[in-house]
Amino acid sequence: MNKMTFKLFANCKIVIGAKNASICDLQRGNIYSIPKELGAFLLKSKNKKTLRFIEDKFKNDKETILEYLAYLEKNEIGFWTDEPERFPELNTEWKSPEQINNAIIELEKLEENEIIKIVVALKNLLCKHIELRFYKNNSLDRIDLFMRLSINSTIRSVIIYIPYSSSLILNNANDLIVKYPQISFIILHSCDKIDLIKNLNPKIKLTSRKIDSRHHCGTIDPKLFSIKLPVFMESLKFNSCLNKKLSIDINGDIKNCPSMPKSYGNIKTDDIETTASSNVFKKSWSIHKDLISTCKDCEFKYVCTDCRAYLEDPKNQLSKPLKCGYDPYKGVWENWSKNPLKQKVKEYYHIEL
Amino acid sequence: MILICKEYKEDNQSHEDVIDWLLYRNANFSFLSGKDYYQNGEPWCIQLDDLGQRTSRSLKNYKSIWFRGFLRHRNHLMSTFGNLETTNDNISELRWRIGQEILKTNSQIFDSFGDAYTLPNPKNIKIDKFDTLRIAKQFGIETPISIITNSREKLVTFISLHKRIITKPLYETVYFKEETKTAFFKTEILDLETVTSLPETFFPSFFQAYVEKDIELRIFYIEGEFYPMAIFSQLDPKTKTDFRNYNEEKPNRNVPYILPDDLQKKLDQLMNKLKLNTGSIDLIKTPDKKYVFLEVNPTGQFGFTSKPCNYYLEDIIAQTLIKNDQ
Repeated sequence: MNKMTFKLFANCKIVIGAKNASICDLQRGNIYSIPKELGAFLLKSKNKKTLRFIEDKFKNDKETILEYLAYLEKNEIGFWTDEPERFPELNTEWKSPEQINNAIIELEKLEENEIIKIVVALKNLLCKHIELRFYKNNSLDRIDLFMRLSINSTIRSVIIYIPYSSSLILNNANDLIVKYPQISFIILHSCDKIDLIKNLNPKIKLTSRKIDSRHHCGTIDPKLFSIKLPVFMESLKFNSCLNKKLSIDINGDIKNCPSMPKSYGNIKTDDIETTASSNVFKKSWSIHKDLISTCKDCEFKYVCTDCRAYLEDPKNQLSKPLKCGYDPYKGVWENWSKNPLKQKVKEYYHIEL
Repeated sequence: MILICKEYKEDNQSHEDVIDWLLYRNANFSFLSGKDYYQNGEPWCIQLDDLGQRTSRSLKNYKSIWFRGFLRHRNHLMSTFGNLETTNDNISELRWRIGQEILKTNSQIFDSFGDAYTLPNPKNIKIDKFDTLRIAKQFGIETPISIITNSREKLVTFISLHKRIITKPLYETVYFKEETKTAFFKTEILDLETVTSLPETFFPSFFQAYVEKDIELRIFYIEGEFYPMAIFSQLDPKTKTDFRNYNEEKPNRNVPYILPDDLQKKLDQLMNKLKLNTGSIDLIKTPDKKYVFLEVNPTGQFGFTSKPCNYYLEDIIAQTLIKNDQ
């Protein structure tokens, strides 16, 4: 055996941040923090003979590097080979077979004819994933109509947010799930009886959180990171939240995201498909992380959920998400809502916590 | 118009993905299954006379056909069998005979595809593993030393010579599920103890010298293009013999790979000889860098290769079908 080159598996990608680097394991869904210097070393050593390269360029760090390589080998992040050129990088192509991939609909007040219009448009746009939101009042008739119209479409999953009103809603939710297999989850929010409710259908989730307005979206949290190959590749060129997203807000306004002020039309007066296919509507899809200040220096930038609705500097579309507590220059997480610098901005957005 | 030929019951994410690309690319397509001929009760007829062979169910509009499957005849005529008062022997003979009748009938149904482009041609998919190995050898591709025998003595000699051997079905890998256990027709390593415990002669079976692995290669082939994936099954004892013994928690590392040019040329010749324009090819790369051909599966899984390597095979298949529809 003379395997001279240490190589990362192609689906373990290094991302260099301002202070730290990360290895995103896109096959197994893990992320590892590593020193920036090690990340730089791994990027540079590529197909070279590893030991010789260390001797030449990193002699002083030899012990540390070798220790790390042993760790990476043991965790199956990388491997030794004598034919490194046979193991190419992943191509970075990203594409998806739909005009609109996912949609958020605030269904609470929409009329029957409007719901019909929306579903027809979503079908024609080949939409796959839907989120139906109810903040204050539920309307089972509206859900039932929406779901009934969605049969025989490309729609693969529907997540529904409904406020918990009484235990009756549990039966209703269960009926919907049995009737419509595309429903992947019904989330009952603002529930104060969580501990008393047992034996739920696994597709029903209860939460005490009051998701009573659109302001609850946009939180950046490592728990929400999506360490997956398609997400990573999409994030290289597109906005991981807004790309191929369509939202219809509570007033029927056609938006990128219900939490964003900009409306591109209204379903009462405008054609949804035409609006969603226009260049102005698609403009924000390509705000990728390398364009966003601070984020571009973050080692989590290609697995992050991002948010363009709540920004640190509301006047700058390219500023960091407000609800992110990570400082890539220090490499530490803090509670963003306690940050004194962000208080003014919270007031601007009328966010209360 | 494109025709997707598959068993309707089969729920397959990869098929859905190809269909998504066909929709996105505005292709016209429709579905066909053996069910339409055997179960739905719609009358049909294929007639051969002085004017040639004609079918009442014309498939002339279909210029491009994606063939993924047609019919599972396992459950066919099940209710009829239940009412028969006859010996088990007769029933199994009858089942086999009906299976053969279905195969012959299918062959004539496939004939009504006419000159349409087929991916792959259904008449070429029932390939023989042993034949394929022999043909591969003719093109200079390494293959495992293989024997078919019923003799313990031969097998003892074989195992002493090669140290480790495997057995696998000559036909397809399959399993039988009973209430408490599952029986497999699959790849299995044999040790000397097992071999010596066999009777002097046994049911003729297929054996191969075990091939030491550095990595396994699964290659999706379509119209002369190769999409190879390396599988690091050696890192996990669970998947050492066959990566299909999946480890769900820690899946094998699957990464793109670049084949040597001369091997690619030989594999291309093999696929041409087998008249297959698509298929999944299994190879082993040994620690001393030999590439050993195992088998080819004409309608094998491709999602499994496509996703981890970011190959977008689903779109490539869709585009191939669309191109040949014009």
